[in-house]
Amino acid sequence: MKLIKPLDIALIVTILCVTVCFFLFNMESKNSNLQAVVRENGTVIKTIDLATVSQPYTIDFGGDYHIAIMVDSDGVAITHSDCNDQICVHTGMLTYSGSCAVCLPARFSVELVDCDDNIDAVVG
Amino acid sequence: MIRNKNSSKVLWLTQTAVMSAVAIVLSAVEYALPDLPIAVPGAKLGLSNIATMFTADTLGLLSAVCVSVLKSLFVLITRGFTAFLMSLCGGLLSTIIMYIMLNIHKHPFGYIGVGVAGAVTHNVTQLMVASLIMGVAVFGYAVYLIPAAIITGGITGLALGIMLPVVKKINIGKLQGGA
Repeated sequence: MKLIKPLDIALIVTILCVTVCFFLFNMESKNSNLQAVVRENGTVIKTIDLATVSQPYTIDFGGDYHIAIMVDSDGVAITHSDCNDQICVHTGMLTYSGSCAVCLPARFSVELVDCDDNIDAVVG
Repeated sequence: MIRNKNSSKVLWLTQTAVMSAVAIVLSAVEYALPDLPIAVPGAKLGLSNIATMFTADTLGLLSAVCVSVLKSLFVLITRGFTAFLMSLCGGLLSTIIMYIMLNIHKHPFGYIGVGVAGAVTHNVTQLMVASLIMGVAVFGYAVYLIPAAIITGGITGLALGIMLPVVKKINIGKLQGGA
């Protein structure tokens, strides 16, 4: 069996195209009407309208992993988690609609959406 | 030299066990490495796919599945249930896909293609499992994980493409006669 064949290149190019399409489809321009949606275990626990934020502030969610997020008028970021990977913290500041930061061990996610989007469920 | 019909089963068992150990060690090394500053944190090199792909080609599908399952059990012990679930689903599906691609009549794919397909299915399956737990938000990672998978899969395929033709000449599956 050969090391590389034309079909391999075709496969790689196809995968890249699909990824790019996916990316463009989701990536929307910076919108002034942003809303941060906080989810735990898939259900929404908090929504924050970024237009109402005048000064950056932190919210502590506690729980097993002591998650804390920072909310600012241009975006949100997960600033603290007790998880091993720290992937959520390293994601940094979310500024684009559709972007999100996820902490898998804590089943916690923060997502930026446009204000007009429908939320699936609101709890609490 | 012991020669009876049980010997080949023992040989199969031993070789599968060795490959499982290799997969586990590669997985442990991977997690110990510091995160690449360029890539997305969480994108792992997929080194254990080398062991899985090697097993799929030289020892067969059942061996490769065993290697994958044992590696996932190791992940269960060291990193917890969520990681185990993702490793299991990603590992099993990518193993099956790699086995199929390696054994299609007339071999339309090269080793690099098989490596890429294995790594990409591994990551995509992990994302799908993560989205079941977390919601659709995780697909934002896909944009970074998939190109990373293409690169790591390419490296895996390249490594095996160099090794496998040599190994196959050594008759790894058959008993060596004499001492």
